[in-house]
Amino acid sequence: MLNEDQVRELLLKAGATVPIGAESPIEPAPRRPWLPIAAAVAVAATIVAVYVAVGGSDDNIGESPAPGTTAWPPDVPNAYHLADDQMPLLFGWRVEDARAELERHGYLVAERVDESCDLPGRVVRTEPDVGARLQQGEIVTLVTPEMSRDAKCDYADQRLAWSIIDFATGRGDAPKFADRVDYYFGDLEHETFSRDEAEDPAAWDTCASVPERCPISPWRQLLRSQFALVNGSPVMPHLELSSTPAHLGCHEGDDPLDSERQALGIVITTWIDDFGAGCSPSVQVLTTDGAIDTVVLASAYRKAELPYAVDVETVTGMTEPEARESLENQGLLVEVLPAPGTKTQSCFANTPPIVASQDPAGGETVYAQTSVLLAMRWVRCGESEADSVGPRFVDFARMTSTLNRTIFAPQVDLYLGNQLVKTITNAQAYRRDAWQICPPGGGYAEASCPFSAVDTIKAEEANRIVYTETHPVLGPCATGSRDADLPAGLFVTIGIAEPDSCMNNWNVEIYYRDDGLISGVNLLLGSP
Amino acid sequence: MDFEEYVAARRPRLVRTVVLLGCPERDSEDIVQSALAKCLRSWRRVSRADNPDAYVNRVLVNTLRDARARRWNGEFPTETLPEDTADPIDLEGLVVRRALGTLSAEHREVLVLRFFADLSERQTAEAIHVAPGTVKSRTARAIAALSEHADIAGLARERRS
Repeated sequence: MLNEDQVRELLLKAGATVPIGAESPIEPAPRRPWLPIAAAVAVAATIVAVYVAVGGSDDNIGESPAPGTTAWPPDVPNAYHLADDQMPLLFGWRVEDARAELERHGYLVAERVDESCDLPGRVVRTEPDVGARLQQGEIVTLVTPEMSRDAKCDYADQRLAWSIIDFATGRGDAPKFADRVDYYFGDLEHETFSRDEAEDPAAWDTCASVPERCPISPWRQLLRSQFALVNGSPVMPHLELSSTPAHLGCHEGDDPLDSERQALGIVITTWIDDFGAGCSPSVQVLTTDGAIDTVVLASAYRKAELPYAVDVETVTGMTEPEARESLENQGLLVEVLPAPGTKTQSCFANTPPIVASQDPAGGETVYAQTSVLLAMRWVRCGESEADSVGPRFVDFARMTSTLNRTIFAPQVDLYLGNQLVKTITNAQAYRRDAWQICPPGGGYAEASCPFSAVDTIKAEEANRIVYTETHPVLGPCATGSRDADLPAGLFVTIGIAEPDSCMNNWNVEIYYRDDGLISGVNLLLGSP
Repeated sequence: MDFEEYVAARRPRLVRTVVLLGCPERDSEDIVQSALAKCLRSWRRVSRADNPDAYVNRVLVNTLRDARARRWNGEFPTETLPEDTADPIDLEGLVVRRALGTLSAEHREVLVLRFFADLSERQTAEAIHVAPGTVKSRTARAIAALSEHADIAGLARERRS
């Protein structure tokens, strides 16, 4: 038997046989690799940016950076996806860009000005409003601001606010950051960024202080606030300035901002606010000599309430209550499209509809509070087995969902290589060690006993599972089944899409009764 | 350590690790490139980790598994010698690679991560998403399986004689 040092030496020799090519450049991280953001924001998001009101010339008033390489809009909530014949969201667009976008879709464009201190040249409103259905050749009016003769507008504040929003929405380069940027979030958790880091939005997605539940970055929060929904319908937000965020009346906790410094607030909101239903996250910034040195996210929220990134659970094949529980435990919202039609042809009594598809898909990374859209369908006889019994068993094996009803018959026969090894009760079936079996009279000599169908499936979490309603083919990997000893009746076969080697191939046959309860499990391993 | 320095120092070992894990040589550079690109996006976090190597290897294993699930359907070829290397080939090393290729993926992972990537049991456990105790037992079984391989046993006999 080799000892560890000998194994290490052998592996070093093996590694030395691998030729190493010339170093190829690592492609830089995407400039703005935004995560999918799909929150249905129930009320208008409010963004407060407070910064020192310091200088800055009024040059280039009204100019906004042209949309960059990032597709616009960069990410939108799934409730906010607009069809080609719907009025797009053009909030804050430079009027020339907005005109070009609309003309590209075949609309006629008119312009009108409204007196306000918003930044001239930016679209503040459209007629018709965002989301309205349009017809080819229809006239669309872009409303832009114009300073009243009686007013004195401070465009320096406006320009900084818009530079931040452009950065957040992927339409512009980074605003001017100081050499060191302090970032506070939640209950005054703290991160520090260098200027280079601060200029990369992706860098704000990670935080060493709470890596497991890193909250949404201030820039993503600004981005998602663009897509405000009221009663499920898109609405155009607007921009306001204020001297302090205190008027919002919903911020709690200590304020890390230096009260000695003169501050000015910027508020983006919709006309319909409902602070009683919960304060929206806010972003606050402080600047020195025009450079941002402090950013505060969501002082209205406690840390635990900040949105954080989660990997969406796969819930296809589950019933609605199961899917809801799984997703809501992750902090996600659930919207359900009812199963069309009526329950027909079902083999099983009292079988509820199951999740046929989900958006976002399982495994996608989104923020908590994101809505997951579930499309349901009735379980139908003949196709139901692969769609229901198989995934249920895989979920059970992988412990990826909480079962709220039994999936096993009172007795479950466990087979290994087509041979009955033992019978367990449904109560025992929920104990993983009850699934461990060894071949009667030998077999599977190259792998070590005990084997377990549930552990085998659990170990393959990285691979895609496939379901068939046929017995696996008896081939060189010897995973095929024979009729001998196997129960008659309904079954579904589970396997992996692309086994990486013959020895690692396996199949699990699930035998079940007319009521869908599993009565037998046959584990077939590739190792002969 | 900044990212460029890390890549310059560790890339060869990462490529070799991924090949020993069962990735075809032709794909190994891509896998390492993908894994490093993922790490680059969170480099602040990676560089602040207690052991950046453990973090990168974890990403590497996940990247390899993802790629394998998508594209591959076979083992790496070791019957033929690499043609494009000027260095003398260590036939013993090739024998070991071939033997590794006959082990299960689970056994291969623990051996390569523990004894080639030099990860601790805990770090290996994190990288392959199992309990440290599982790594311990799996390592013991993997060493036994490797020791029993005919070619490895032959090597051991040659060394003793």
